[in-house]
Amino acid sequence: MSTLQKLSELDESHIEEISAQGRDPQWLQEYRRSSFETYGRLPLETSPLYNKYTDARRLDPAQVLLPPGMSASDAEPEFLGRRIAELKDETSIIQVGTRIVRTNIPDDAAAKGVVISSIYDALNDSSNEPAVRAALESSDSEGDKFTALNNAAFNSGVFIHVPDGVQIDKPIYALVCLPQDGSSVISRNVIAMGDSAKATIAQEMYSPKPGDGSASSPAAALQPSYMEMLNTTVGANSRLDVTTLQMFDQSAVNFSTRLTDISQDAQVNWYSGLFGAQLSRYRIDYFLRGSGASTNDSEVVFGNADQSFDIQTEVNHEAPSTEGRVVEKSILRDKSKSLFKGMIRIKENAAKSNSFLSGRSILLDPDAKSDAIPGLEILTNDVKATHSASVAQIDEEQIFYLQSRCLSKEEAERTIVEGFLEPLSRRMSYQVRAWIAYLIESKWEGRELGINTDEELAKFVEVEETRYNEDAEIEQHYKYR
Amino acid sequence: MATENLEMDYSKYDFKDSTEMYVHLSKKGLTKETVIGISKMKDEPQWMLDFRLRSYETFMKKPMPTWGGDLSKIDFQNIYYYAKASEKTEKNWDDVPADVKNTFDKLGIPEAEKKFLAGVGAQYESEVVYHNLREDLQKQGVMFLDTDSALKEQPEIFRKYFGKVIPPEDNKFAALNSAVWSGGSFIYVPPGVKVDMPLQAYFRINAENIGQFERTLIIVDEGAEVHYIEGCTAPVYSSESLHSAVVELVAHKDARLRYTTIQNWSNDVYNLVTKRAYAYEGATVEWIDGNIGSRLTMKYPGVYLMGERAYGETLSIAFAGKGQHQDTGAKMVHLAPNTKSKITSKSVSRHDGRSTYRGLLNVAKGATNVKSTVRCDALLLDDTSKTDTYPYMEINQEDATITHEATVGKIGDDQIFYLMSRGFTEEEALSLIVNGFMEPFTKELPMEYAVELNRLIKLEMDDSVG
Repeated sequence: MSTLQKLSELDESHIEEISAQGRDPQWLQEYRRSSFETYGRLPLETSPLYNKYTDARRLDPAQVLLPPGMSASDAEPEFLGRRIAELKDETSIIQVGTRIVRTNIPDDAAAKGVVISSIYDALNDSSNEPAVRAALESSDSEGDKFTALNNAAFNSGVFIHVPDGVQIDKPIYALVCLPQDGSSVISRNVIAMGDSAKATIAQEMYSPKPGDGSASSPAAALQPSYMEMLNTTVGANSRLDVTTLQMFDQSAVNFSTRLTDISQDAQVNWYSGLFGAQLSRYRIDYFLRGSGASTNDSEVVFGNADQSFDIQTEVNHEAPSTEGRVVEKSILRDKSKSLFKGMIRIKENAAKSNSFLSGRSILLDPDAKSDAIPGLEILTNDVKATHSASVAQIDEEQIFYLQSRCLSKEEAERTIVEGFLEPLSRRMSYQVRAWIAYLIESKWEGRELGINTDEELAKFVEVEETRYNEDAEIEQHYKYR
Repeated sequence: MATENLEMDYSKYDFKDSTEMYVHLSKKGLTKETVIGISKMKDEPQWMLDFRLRSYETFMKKPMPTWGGDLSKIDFQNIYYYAKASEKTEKNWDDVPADVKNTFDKLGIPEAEKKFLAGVGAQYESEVVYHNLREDLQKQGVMFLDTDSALKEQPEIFRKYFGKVIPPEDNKFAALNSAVWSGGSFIYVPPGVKVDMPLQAYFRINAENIGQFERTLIIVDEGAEVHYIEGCTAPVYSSESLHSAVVELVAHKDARLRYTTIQNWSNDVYNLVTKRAYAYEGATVEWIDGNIGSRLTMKYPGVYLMGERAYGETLSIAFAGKGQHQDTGAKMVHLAPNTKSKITSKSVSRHDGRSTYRGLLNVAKGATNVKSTVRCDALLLDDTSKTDTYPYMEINQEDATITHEATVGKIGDDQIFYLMSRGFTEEEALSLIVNGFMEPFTKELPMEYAVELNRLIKLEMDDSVG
């Protein structure tokens, strides 16, 4: 295997190497080059609003190793064998390191023109290239250092395209796993939805444990990173549901930037469950570009040990009658830390828009820490915008009450946490609720994080399904009363 | 509230006097010589000169802030840093130079003093021109002086507190003030003394391109109480004036201190002010802060809660009209257990005015059982007005209870319709609703001020319909 390149010593030749191996078109070569120049110039945080508030400096570029070009081990990791087998018959794409190791598209979906491929296949396909190019060019390198890095040095990625009028009921699974050798992955993912289309996507993120089995296991000090840039465009009248489950090992670092463009009357529901990685830095930007566009973003963070989560969510209302809803909830144990920076931005022409932003944290240990900055920038009057934030420790009286009802302290804490998440999870489908509940339980009990369709999960699905149906029944009941 | 006596002529504030009669007007621009010159003229002790020079160096070193409002139009070399219209501070109103007296007579200072104030100070450009304090308070040991006299007459107590709450290194504009400060109020209230009537100061910028850099220091000793009010005005000029004050408050154990400001600078004044208070055990500090005027205000009154059970509150309103940016907020730093704070911010924007709430809430490690609420409400009167909210919350102690709420809205057509059906004109209806929105603020003001504020709002609201 050839030598790995440290991120701290990244130079032009590395970028050229990626370009050469990916057989980049001319425009992309130039785009990478100019972005790389920008990357070198920008500070860690460009916004004057937040420059004091960023955890990005926990990333040590000297500990991030990049494979030369795109090569990386492409063996399916053992610990994911079971999950991968489960996904065999589902609509899915599996990326290990920088390689796509499997793709499965059911025939009927393929016949309707659904494309699920690696970003490189899309770039080399004349019908898909424009979508990828548009995505790249809409991501301004000047806006953020890590957008610039991604624009310059992405070495992998997934492309999903759902054409006009196509509705897919079953979820599309996009699984990514960092390679065994401890190297990092810079991915550019693109989701392009046509008009009046419908799809559900589940993103799962894994990484191997350091010192796990194989001889080439990553050294403990390394920071294997998953640097993702995800561009989503949603056409008019479409609906997209995405679930992101981040289950990296705590040696890993995860930087994700999502830019989501939503057209007229389209709706996006995004559920994120962030559980793993020593540092997760998420920048989530929604652009509501057409009237009637709406987004509903729910984020659950569960941190322990010395994990830190740095989340910045912005909803940009660019058209009239748009709706945004962002709810972030974090549960923090031990010395974990969360930083929530939210922003509602309503432009001059976005009258009759309605937006809600909230960040809530519950701290379970004295050393846990949470900061919140829920901001508003409102440029016109006929709108509704509210935001709220709260940070509180778990209520001793509630624990005492539950203990008096014969729950142990831990059970009491878990019940309270469940209640804390309840209003949020009501918005989710029972499947997503089950996954998130399952991961919280796994983490609480110190089990390995991962989705496996085992008895445990089945139990959660059953509970959540019953609850879900109950809700529906209650609603119906109310309706006909 | 009756509306008939609210008619007011804005020219009450918009008059200017000639600068020919001034005793001293410094050269434009800021250099080391300017700083030394000011200090010499005031015949200050060496330590103050050193302090000024240190501040000057700090000012030159610090970059301009990149956040907040647009500061690019400030030209530090096109400003008079020191202007003196009168030779000394008078205790008798009749001795104040005629043109200066004229100004304050127009503003109604002596009448106000007779009516309801325990003491009053008036600052014209850089120097305080008039100062008076009720006799019985003097006997109890209350000191109410202008800051320059305090440096001379109370050197010990002055040096003990001066520059301690806000060191020049705090920010660029605090450094600027520390280098060229002149005038301001100095108040010391001895232990246990409760000043039952407000003390007041009035600040006036008269000349064009002048910088006013007053420095206020208030110390309230154990168990004492005081309420201080300041008002600010300036006539309208086309080029920019700069007001950059530093206000330091110290509230000792169980003291109560309320600081009320109504700022009505003309729309060409940059108002960049640093205000901070230390509240020790059981003390209460309240900032009541009204921002009506100025082109750009950047002001974030803060309370450092240093001792157990201290309480800090900021209640502010901002009114941003055409061409104005009110970037205001509050800072609460909880450094001790069982401390509480409350921030209420209300803003009204119209005619492309921009109001910004920018606040910091910090709970230090070890400050257990802290409670804090932040509430910001913004009212947008038309579709070109803008509002921002940036609430920063840094919580380092797990058992803090922190809440933040904000709403942005417009005036409901149904509310206007209702009032109009009761016989109000549209304008009156609008004015009533805005006054209602401001109510929590106005009811904290002494009556005279509340009336004045309502007038100002009325004034600002004229021609807002149609």
